[in-house]
Amino acid sequence: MLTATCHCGAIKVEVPRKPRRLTSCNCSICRRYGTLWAYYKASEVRVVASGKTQSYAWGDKSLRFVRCATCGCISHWEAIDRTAVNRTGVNARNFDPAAISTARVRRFDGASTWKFLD
Amino acid sequence: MHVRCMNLIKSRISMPPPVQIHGKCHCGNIAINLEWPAGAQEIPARACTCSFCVKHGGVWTSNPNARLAVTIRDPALVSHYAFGTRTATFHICSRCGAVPIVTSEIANHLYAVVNVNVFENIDASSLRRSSADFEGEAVESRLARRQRNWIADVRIRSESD
Repeated sequence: MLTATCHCGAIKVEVPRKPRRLTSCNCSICRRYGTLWAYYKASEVRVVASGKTQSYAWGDKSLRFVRCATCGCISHWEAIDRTAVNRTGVNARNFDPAAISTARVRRFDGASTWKFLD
Repeated sequence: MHVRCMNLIKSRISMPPPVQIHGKCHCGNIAINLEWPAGAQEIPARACTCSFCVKHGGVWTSNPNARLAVTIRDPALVSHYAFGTRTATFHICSRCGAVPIVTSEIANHLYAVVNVNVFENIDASSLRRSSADFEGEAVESRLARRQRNWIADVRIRSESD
């Protein structure tokens, strides 16, 4: 198991294994968040919040981006309709950097073509 | 007129105007206008290696001769976070969660750096990317560095002002 923790420690996201691949997306929201996404089945991810969370949804509002209300770290995104999408993006920036040092980072062109750039 | 004076005037006349860099958080609550000085062609983009910036993917720029105007639509929707030496304040939009600026108040003067991830009209090729490690830097040196390098002309206003 691997745990991603926000800066103040209030939000922890537990996943069953280290990610082998990470996605860096250049869309309007991901580039501002500076996130690196590790994808898991939603049923594999456990979010433990000891503090307040906030979330943000935009566009077609199929996803919401969840963050710690105190330190602002983006913890993960989740489908708003969880019955339709069993997938969650966990922000790998919150893992121990050593745990993701060997993961391959792929650049996704979410801003334009919706394809990988590499 | 002395030749050197003439040359100086000519160089001033031919100097390109300052670049106006626009940016905002995703929802637009925090907007920035950064007037980048004429002649400073490359924009440094420093990926800070501190614990906060690593988690936020924060990449910062500043120039001591730049001017920064920050316009906040709803100040109630901006939260602030500080840690460690507590000499820097991160301004987080509490609607969308983006972190467009960091400020540091030193001797009653406000200094700032701006997150290049919120820029809207700058080509990525004009950013000179590097990483910056300030771990272990003493507080006095840290503040002196900010006074030298951070943006010193910072105005923050809310639209309700």
